[in-house]
Formats: sequence, structure tokens, C-alpha cells
Amino acid sequence: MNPPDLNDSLSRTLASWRVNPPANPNFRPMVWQRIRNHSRDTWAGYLRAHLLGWSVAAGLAIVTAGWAGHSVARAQLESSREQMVVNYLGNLDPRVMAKLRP
Amino acid sequence: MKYLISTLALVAVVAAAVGYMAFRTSGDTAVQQALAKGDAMEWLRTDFRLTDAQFAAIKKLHDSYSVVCEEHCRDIQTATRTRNALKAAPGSDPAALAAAERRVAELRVVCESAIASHVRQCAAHMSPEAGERYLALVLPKIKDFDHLAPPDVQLNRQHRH
Repeated sequence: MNPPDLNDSLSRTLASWRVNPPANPNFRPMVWQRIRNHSRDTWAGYLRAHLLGWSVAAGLAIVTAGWAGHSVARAQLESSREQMVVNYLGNLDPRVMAKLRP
Repeated sequence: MKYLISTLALVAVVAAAVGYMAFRTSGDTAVQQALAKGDAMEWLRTDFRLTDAQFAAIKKLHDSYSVVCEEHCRDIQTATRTRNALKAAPGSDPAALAAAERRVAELRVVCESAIASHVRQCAAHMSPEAGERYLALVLPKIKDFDHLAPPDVQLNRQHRH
């Protein structure tokens, strides 16, 4: 057991002790960052976090796919039309018919 | 990483669906069906948006042209046989062979003029825009007739050959 005067000294020291930690200016941002990091644990959170990038990528992919589908359909139609014109004229052209006739 | 792959897959699926829809919905379904069936008259009706009156007039033109077509066909065949016979005969008269060649060439020119005139008459029954498009499709091929494939489409009329 400490002597009484030592206890008094400790008490005084403790009573006069003040802690003045420097304020951390990044405290709030760090808290929000932790919250955001946690929210990325879900797919919706991941998408929210990368909304701009994925929006641009999805937009480009959809426009490209739509254009490609349209172009392929047009090319097929043109090809069928060309063949139809050839066959159509073949039926009207005596020169072709004369070649075919035995 | 798993969300990156999932999102990539989702975007790919959506883009593929959009591409397929664009493929299916591009163009005129009626024209595509006529082309798939190989029905030339239906193709004309749908692709050039013919009214019933226009369609009937063009069909009548085609029907009456088939008589002319038959005549020309017969003439070309006769001239070609004559020329071939002269070519095959040993010691045939070169002047006669040249005349036979000229006759075949002349008949071909006559045919080309006749069919060009016929399609122009058909185009005259269409709307100006459709007629122009129709002529742009058929006239170059009339000039290039040697490249024409044997006909295998239905003109919905009796071809008298």
C-alpha cells in the first residue's frame, strides 16, 4: 500500500492531466469511406459505386449491338432482294429463257 | 471481382437481346416473307408498296409481255440453231456465218430493248419514288443478262415457254 502523500500526489497529477489530441481532418471522410466500402459488399452497392462507368459501357454495348443487328438484317434483305431481281428478270428475259429451253 | 463478371454478363445479355430484336424488327416483314417464298409478284407488291390498282396494271403488263417474250425466245432459238449449224458444218460460208452471228446479236439487242421498255412501263405504274428504285434495281441487270440465274420464282402467271 502506498503512503498517503504518494496517493495525494498521484491524485493531483491525474486531476491536472489533460489530453489534447490533434483533430484529424480526415476523420469524417474516412468514416464515409468505410461506409461506402461496406456497401460494395452487395451487387447494388457495387453498381452504385461504378454507376457512370457501367452506364457508358452498357450504353455503348447496346447501341453497337442494335446497329449490328440492324446492319445484318439489312444485308440479308439486300442479298435476298438481289437474288429475287435476278430470278424475276430471268422469267421476263427471252434471252435467258432461250438459253434454258432445250 | 464477382460483381464485375456478373455485371459484364448482364450487359452482354442485354446487348445480345437488343441486337436480336434489332435484327428481327429491321426491314419490312411482308417483303421478307415474299422474298422467302420466292414470290416475285408479291415481292413487287410489298417492296414497292403497290396499290391494288397498280398491282393489277403491272400484272396485266406482265401477262401481255409473256406473249412478246415467247416470240423473242423462239426467234433467238431459231437464230442460234442456225448459227450453230453453220458453225458445225465443215466448209460453211463465212459470210453466212457472220450474217447468222449478226442476226443473233440483233435479236439480243431487240430483246434487251423490249424488256427494258417493259420494265419502264411497269415503273410508270408505280409511285415516282418506287418506280425509280425499281428501275435502279432491274435496269443494270438487264444489261448484264448473262449473269442472270435460271428463274426459279413464281410470277403468278402462266409462262408460255
